[in-house]
Amino acid sequence: MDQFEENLGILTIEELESIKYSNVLLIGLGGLGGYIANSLARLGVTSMTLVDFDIFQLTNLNRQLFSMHSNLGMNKTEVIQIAIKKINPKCQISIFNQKIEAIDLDHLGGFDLIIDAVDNIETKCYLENLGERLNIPLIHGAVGGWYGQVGIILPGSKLLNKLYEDNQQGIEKIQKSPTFTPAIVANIMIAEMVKLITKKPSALINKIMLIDLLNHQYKILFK
Amino acid sequence: MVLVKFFNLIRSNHNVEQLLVEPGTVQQIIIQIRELHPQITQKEFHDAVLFVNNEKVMHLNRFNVQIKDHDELIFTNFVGGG
Repeated sequence: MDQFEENLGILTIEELESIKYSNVLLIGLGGLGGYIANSLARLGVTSMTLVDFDIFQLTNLNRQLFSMHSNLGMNKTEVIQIAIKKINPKCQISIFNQKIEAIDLDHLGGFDLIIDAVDNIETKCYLENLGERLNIPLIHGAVGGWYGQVGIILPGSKLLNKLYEDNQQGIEKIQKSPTFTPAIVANIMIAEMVKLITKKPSALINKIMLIDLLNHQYKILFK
Repeated sequence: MVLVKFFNLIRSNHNVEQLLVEPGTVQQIIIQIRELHPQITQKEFHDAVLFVNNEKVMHLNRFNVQIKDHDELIFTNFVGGG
């Protein structure tokens, strides 16, 4: 019995294989990133690189999946690397305990996609530019309070640079996130990643979906 | 008429989902909206992100943009956290 056979049904064996052999670059291991890393492992991804410079802190406990009292003060990359190996021992995990902007581009080759789980708009725009330089898609996600965003950003679209160009204050500066917002948004991002890898149709190619969990409103923006 | 829709904070804070107004510039439309919903502050409009027919309007120019009959104007707020 294979631990991933429950993923069959919505996916064929061939599609599971394409997910298994995708090489994923995940930046940010906080609210979104923890749930994303967890879901990548449970989907059977066997090659992932995790990037985060931060340690687990007390204030992470309300929403960050892998944060626990026992690992406060520890590097998020190392904690999650160990946790992922326990879910899927076959997963090869590289880690960078630094900011993505500080990583030489020579170390960032060979990925099939980038996942944006960072917590600030400047780095989100950097990741969009990085996707363009590496010529690979970016799965964008963001959260703040009851609200979220998801989109698949193909190289050259510059959607995030347009969205964030005015540098207005994001909702996350006013409302911190509870546990459920990153959990939901992260797994919508994962669903979009699965569609991208398996070449299923997606309504979010070069678009941004607004997610309002308070009023259950969902709106897709950008033509 | 112009269909104005509100999303995210601006919708939640005032429980206003959408309304119809006369065409005009964004600023003229804001005046119409505030006549109906004076509790929505000018600052909230200033802080919002605007989309006309699902295309983002650049911040600096947005209050002067002409919104035509049958256009859809969205006021929302973005998120940037993770």
